[in-house]
Formats: sequence, structure tokens, C-alpha cells
Amino acid sequence: MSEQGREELELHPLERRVLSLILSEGPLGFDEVAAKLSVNVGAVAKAAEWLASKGLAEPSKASVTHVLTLGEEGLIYVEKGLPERRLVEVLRSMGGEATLSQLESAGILGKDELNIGIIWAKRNGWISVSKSDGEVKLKIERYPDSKSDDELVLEILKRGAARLEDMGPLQAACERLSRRPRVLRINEVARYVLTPTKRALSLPPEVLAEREEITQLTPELLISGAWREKRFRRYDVYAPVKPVLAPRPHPLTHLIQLIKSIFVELGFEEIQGPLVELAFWNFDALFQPQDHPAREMHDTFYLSSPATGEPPRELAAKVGRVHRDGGATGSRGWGYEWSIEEASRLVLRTHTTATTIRHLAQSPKRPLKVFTIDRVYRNEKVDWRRLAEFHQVEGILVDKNANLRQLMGVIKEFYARMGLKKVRFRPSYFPYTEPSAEVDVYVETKGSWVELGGMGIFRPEVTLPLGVREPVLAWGLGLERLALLLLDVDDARILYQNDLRWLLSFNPLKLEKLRVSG
Amino acid sequence: MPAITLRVDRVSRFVGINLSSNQIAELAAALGMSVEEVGETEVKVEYNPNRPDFGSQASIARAFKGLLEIELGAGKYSARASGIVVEVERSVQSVRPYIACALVRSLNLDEEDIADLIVLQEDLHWILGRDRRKVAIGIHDYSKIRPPFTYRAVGLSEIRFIPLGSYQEMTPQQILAEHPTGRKYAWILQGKDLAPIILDSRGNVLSFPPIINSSLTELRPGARELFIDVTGTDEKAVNQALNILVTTLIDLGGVAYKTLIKYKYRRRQVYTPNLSTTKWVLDPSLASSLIGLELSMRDIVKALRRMRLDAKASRGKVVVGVPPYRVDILHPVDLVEEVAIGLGYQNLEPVLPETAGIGALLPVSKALDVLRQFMLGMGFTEVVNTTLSNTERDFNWMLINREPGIKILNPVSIMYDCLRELLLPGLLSNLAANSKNPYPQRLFELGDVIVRNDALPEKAGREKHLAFVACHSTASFSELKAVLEEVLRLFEMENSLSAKDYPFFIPGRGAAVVKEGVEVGFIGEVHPSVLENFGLYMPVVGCELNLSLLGIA
Repeated sequence: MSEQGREELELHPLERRVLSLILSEGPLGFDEVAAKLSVNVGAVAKAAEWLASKGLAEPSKASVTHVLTLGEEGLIYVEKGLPERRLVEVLRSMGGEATLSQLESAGILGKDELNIGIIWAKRNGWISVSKSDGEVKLKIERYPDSKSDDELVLEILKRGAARLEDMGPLQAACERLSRRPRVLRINEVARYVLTPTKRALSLPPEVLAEREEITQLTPELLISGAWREKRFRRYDVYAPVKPVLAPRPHPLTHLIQLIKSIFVELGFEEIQGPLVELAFWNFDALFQPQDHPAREMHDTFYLSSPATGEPPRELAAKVGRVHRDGGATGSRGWGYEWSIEEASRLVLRTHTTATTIRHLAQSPKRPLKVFTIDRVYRNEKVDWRRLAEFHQVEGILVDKNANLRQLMGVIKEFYARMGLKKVRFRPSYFPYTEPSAEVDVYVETKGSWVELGGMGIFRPEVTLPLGVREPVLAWGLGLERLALLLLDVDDARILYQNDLRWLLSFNPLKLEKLRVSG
Repeated sequence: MPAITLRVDRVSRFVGINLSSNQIAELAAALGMSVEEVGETEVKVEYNPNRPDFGSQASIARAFKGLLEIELGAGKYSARASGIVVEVERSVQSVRPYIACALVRSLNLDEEDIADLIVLQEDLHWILGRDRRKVAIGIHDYSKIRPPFTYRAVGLSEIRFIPLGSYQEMTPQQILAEHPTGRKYAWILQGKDLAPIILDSRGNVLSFPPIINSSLTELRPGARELFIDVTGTDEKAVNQALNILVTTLIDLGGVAYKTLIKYKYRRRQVYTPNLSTTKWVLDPSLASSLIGLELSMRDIVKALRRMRLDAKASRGKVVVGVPPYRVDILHPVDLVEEVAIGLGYQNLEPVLPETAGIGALLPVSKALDVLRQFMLGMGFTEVVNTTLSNTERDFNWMLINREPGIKILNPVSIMYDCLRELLLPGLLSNLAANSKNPYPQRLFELGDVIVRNDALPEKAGREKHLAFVACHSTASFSELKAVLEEVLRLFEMENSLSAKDYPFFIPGRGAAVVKEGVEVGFIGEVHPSVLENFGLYMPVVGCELNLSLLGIA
């Protein structure tokens, strides 16, 4: 705003009109200015603020008035009469006196109204209250023929709001009514007066001259060309504006799309498989023995309804034999009695390897390069780093010359394209791969290695029953862990809370930059 | 994964040279352990369950000596004859049929050794024993007992002895009901009315497997002779556990003795432990091709010997001797991994495969991306919710009066007992959670719902849904209908609304989206009772489409 004043004093048309008015007529109340210019008082107040900031006018509190308005109870009293009035009317109809219980059973006044009425009628000297034989007795002492002051106030207010200052002798009644709950409100209203400053008095006349200025450029102005004869009003470019937040994809979706594009670039085809899965595909086909701890109830979600499905019979028989004694795979097997019932149970898949193994069983394509990024489940207590449902980035490469170093190469390339250039591999163990490895990624910002996923070459016990003779390179990487690193979040639960502040603070460009620079 | 703490001084003593904690951490990682914490005097690691022999510091040191080339090849392990006999009576056959025993002498165990041994025993109980169900181990002070021994099953009240951790005689029945350890493991014997018992020649009870030992044979520092019993339901696992224990005790300076196990219920008597190495033949070309390096016979033999396996070249093959404590070698590919670890993973240079492939997204992914762009363009923010859900929210709060199609048997958290069949309840939860954030709020989700489908082998199928909601003080049906119509134009489905009441919409303010007579979605103004259930005090209009019925699957 200060920038603007330095160059040239530029007044908004409203400022000009208000200033001209007070220069010619002297100090005026905001309400008077509003009336004379036929604008609302709010607009005048705004113009006064602008003029004050430019040192051209000075608003000051001139006087204070008190506005009377009826409260909830007051609105009822206006219609039905004050409770004390209604009480004496009832008493009169009952012969001038009655006991409290008689009044209560008459039921004309409610219990609360009755109590309020008794207090005020007694205070006004209209009735007396006495006690005899354990009964409260009310008796009219002075029947009010004319309306009381309180009633007169209500009558006036029935016609609309009024000012306390205009109430003359009824002012005391107003104060009295305002002390009764929710009957009458007295609000203080300040009146402001705007006075031109010395600077305004010495303004060059052209500043105040009525001038055709364009505020909003319109199609009409453009078509007629009238804009050529006019000036454009200058805007306050520093004025704050209401923020606009662009809707955007969920950060996880963004990350998933990014990872998908990398695997597509590397020549992998996307696949997808069931979320509710047969234990057969999730465990047995992956040579996970049926008493393996990972299959226990506290790790895996089993279904109660539907509880079981139908594993492929022929393949299941082969797999069962491999578990028992290795079958024709050259393995010794696990050496136990394999059960088809256990393999028929339905689970929420615990890894996306269930999907790659299914695909491997069905696809005769060689070489084969497929990937999937999808949801998996673990029956665990949820905390800042463990979720019961999360995503895995899974893939397999099947080729006759596929080997461990190539597997490491694919994973290294993937993380490099995610901006994580430093990786290391350690030996690891999975029941379905041999050799197996774990990948750690070095995170510069944390100065430490972070474990991000497992991989290996499928065991012959896994591939041979499917009729697959080539080595199968397989990996399963955690998505959420990677997300926490790249999105700079320290609690995995945040990813699924969908807090709009968090969703709308996500900066996809920053993620992209991070990925490029590494 | 089982965890073990490696003490720098103790491991150094076993290895025979001074190692730093960082060196210990590196060696552990090179062997496939996961290093959790590196301190001044201790290194905490986790090891993989395929290597139960990593359950003691002495046996990890044995592996370190290989990598450091202090000792190569399998160690020499043997057991002498002892004349000790263990009679196995028929009564155990239906309860806990197998047993293997050993005697180890010439020991001088200090407190640390005993602590180590107990850790190893507990880890074996878990890894090989599946929490003692499959395998349970008893270790006894041999000086307190006298062979021959008898393994039999007795009635639950037939016998009394003082169990560990108690001062009074108890029957097996009492132990299972009253003793803390008994109560913990009683489930293993549930439904059996017999208690397996090992007795010595004087009728003293050694142990009541898999529950508890007798206090008579409790180990104390200075113990020189240990008798070990391993019982279980899987003979192979029973012998593996015994071998791991005995070889560890031999590493601690002990001398092992065999026992003769005489089974009365099968025509078989066996000597345990059997500490011979197992012979395997590895084709060197398998190692070269799987690892991706041209390896010479010498390379392979050396790598295997570094991994404490015996190896020698013979007629173009490698003959490998696997020591008795290794339970993870099932197939020659397991030896290939030994070669890779012996070479060191850090020495295997990653290479990009030359395998060609044409990358492609699934059509469904592409279609969902198009819809996502549309919804974003119309001012809706994307949310992602879990498919795990609960009946209370998805059905009761939504006033949908039916059972979920998919129910979870054993959820750890009551938050999850079913899978979502609609996206709308999740979106309403999101709106409720965002009630402190500025309005208007417009959200959408594109994702899976899971529905029962008996035509599939897995009895449940995925469907892709799109749902969107608008929530603000003047949210209206027409506002959302305009958005829906724009989406429907993508599917060339103009004019497909048909008035219909839904339990979760205000009556008269809902409509079905119909395609060729099939309901493919709905739109409406959410009923105030539903909003109240979710704790929402702002009007909401919502819409959900089953995209799978619109050709996106």
C-alpha cells in the first residue's frame, strides 16, 4: 500500500466521493455519509479506513447510543403478556385469591411462568403471599388498572428496535427488564465521525475530480473501445487474497504411478491378482510349510465367511508331494503330511508374491517380465511403522540366463530412478527363494541405511511343480516405507488418514526434484 | 525373527582374536543377520529362522571363524558310546511319540554359558519346536540321575514330583492347572489324558515334556555333565534340535556321548545324536549360472569352506559335507546360496539383465488414470482408504441391514472385521475426520471393493469403484448430479438416472444409475441419521459407481 502512495495519489471512486463530501460539508457521521451517498455504512467504514491509511481523513468515536432489542422471552411476553399480568388476571377470575396448588391445577400458567409471575407481582405490590395450614395463599392487593411501565416498554418494542436514549421516563423500566433473563438486550452502539485532515484540505483538485476510471474491464468496454478514453484504476497488488488449493491425487497414488512408470520403462508388464486368496497360492505354492509361523493366526487374516475355496486339484497334489518329500524336484522336502484342507483356507493375501506365482503358473510366455503394485494384509496391531494393510511393489523376471547379479541390477536401477543411488545387498531368507537377498538403501537426509525389501530366485520346489524350468528372479519391496522417506512423513498411519491439510500440502514437483537429484 | 545379543568380549574369545563391535556387526550382516543395534560392548542382531544354529554366541563365532578364514570347512563333531539306554514305551505313541537324547561330559559351564544355553533352548523351542508343540528340550544335571531311562506316558494324577520353580510335589494334573509354566503350555496336551514322563532307573522324574523339568536336575554353574532329552511329534526336527545343542556344547569344550533309544512300539532302535555330516553333490555350473559369475571349482570349494561346509572337487563336481547342525540344506540351490555368501554379496556386482520386454500398464490402470484426471479437474481431491473395514461403520452406520459378504475370522484389532463393499462409508469417515478443515470439501476415491463371488476358486472378487462426495452448507443433489453426468458422458450413458430410495439417502432424494436394466451405481443426499452416525453436522451428497459393470476391470 505504501508503494502506491509514493508514486501518485490514486483514490478509489468511493474514497473520492466520501472525501469530497466531508470536505464540503465538514465532519459527518458514517451513517450520515452513507445516507447522503446512498451506500451502506460498511462501505463507508471501509473507505474511511483507506482514507485514514493515506492520511486524508480521521475516523473518531463521537458518541455512544444503546439499542434495545427483545430476547427470546421478551418476544413471547410481547405476544402473551408479562407473567405477572397474566397471574393477576387469573387470580381475578378466581375471585381475587387462590392457593398455589389451585393455581397450578388450573394450568393456565406454566410452572416457570407462575414462579416468575409471583415474584414480580409481589414486588410490584399487586399481590400478597401468605402461608396457612401448609398452603401458600395468593391474594390481589392492588389490581393494576393501567399498563405498567414494563408493559409500555414491551409495547414500544413490539413496533421495532428503539434507542434507550429515546425512552425518556421509561429508561428505568428498560434497565429493569434487561435484568430479567432473555427478555431485553441493551447493546452499545458507537457512532463514528469522519473528519478531513489538513493534508486533505490541501489536496490538488484533480485528485478529487470525478473521473471515469475502469475498475473491471468488461466485454462492453472492449467492444465499444471506450476503454481508450478512460483510465484503469490501480490495484493494490499486495492485498491478501483467499487461498486456492488445487485438488490433487493422493500422494500414495502419485508415488504408485511413478513406480509403475519406472517398471514400464524397464520393460515390465503390469499384472493384478486377488486380494482374498487361497492359502494354496499365498503359502503352499511358495513352499511355505503348513506349520510355518507366518501362517499362524496372529500374522495372517483368515476368513470365517467364506472360509474355504478350491485350490487347483492337479497342481495341489504336485505341490503337496514336494512339501512331503521333494517330489521330482531334487529336494528333500519338509518331511510332513501335507493337507489340502489347510491349503483350501481363504486368507487376505500377506504378500503380492501370491499374485506373481499365480501368473507364473498360467503364463507360458518366455521371457517373462511382469510387476504389480498392490495391497497386502498382515494381522498385526497397527502402530507408527506397522499397518494391517499396505502395498508391495512386486515383480518377476523369467529367462533362461537369469541370475542373482541381474536381480541386484534390476533393484539397483529401480532405486536409482527413484533418486536413491546408494544401495547394498545382504543375504536373507525366504522359504521360497534361494539365493535370497535383502536390499538396504542409503538415505542422505537421515545419514543411515534403511531396509526396503526382499528378493531372490524362486526355489525349484516352487517352480518345477508349475512346469517352469528357467530361473525366476523375484522381488517384493515395501511401498509405504519408501513413501515415508520420500514424503518426509514419520508415521505410516498418516498415509491413510486423508487429512485435507496434509493431502493439499503435498508437493508433487518437490518429489520429482528429489527423484532427479537423488 | 529371533534375536540374540553378541557380547564383544565373549565372541572375541570364541573366535580367538579381538574384534570390534563394528567388525562383529559387519560379519553378522555378511552372514545374513539383521543388525539392530551396535554398542560399545554389545551388538544386537536378528537371525533368520532357517538358521536355528545361530541361536548361541559360540555357534555364531564358529561361523565368523570361517569368514575370517581362521578355521575352514566343517568342524569335527562326534559322539562316543556310553551304554546309556532310553526305553520308549508304547504309551507315548499317541501323545508325543519321538525322543532323542545325549550325554555331554567334561564341561565347565559358567553362568554366562548357562545363560547362553537357555537362550538357545528357548529359540529352538520357538523355531524348530513351534512353541514346544513340535519339539521340546530338557537339559539336566547328569550327576543327579542314573540310567537307564524310561520314556512313558502316565495318567495325569498317577505320579508326583517337584517341578522347576516349585517347592512341593505336584501331579501333572496340578502342574497343568496351577503352575505358571504348566498353564502356559497346557494347550499342547489339551484333549490328551496322558502325561509324557521321563524317569531314571530309581524312578525319579527327569521331566514332563513338553511342559517342565523336575527341580531335581536343575542346572547350576559348575555343572560338568549334562543329559539332554528332546521329545516331539516330528522325528527329524527332534534330531535337528539335539544336534544343534550338542554341537554347541562340544564347541564349549564338552565331549558328547550317544544314547540308545529303544522304541517298543516300532521295530527300531537308534543311537542319538547322529553327528555325521550329510553328503551333497553340487554341479559347479548351477552355482555359476544362478549367481551370474564364471566360477572356478577352486572358487566354489573355497567359498563353501568359508561357510563351514566340507567341500572338495571330484570328477567335475563339488562334493559337499554338511555338518549336523545345519538344518537348512534341502536342495543344491541352498548350497549355491552358501557359495554366494561365501564369496560375499558385497563382491557381487549388480548388472542389468539383457532380457527384452515391452513394458505396459494394465488397461484398468489407464482407465482409472483417466477418471482420476476428470475428478481432479472437477475440483475433487483424491483420498485413499483401506479395504479392511468394520461392520459397524459399513453396515450399521449406513443403515444397511445385512451381513457383510466377507468376514474375517481372527482380527487382532476390532477395527477390522470385514472388507469394504462400498467406498462411500470410507468417504463419510474422511469427511467426519476433516470437520475442522475449511469447507466446501469435495473428495473422491477410486479403488477396490471386495465382494463374495462363489464362481471364483477364491470365492471373492475385486470390483473397481468410483465414489465422490460434496460436503458444505449448501451441498445439493443437483450439484453432484452435474458431476455424475459429466462422468457418465465418458461412458456414453446420458440420461441413465432412475429415482430410487436407498437406506442411507433421504427418501425422494436418491437415484439409481442404470445401464441396460442393470444398476451400476447410485447418487443421493445422505440421510441425516447416517450423518449423525458418522458424527457429521454438514450436508453431504454422494455418488458411487461400480466401474467393473461399466467395462473397467
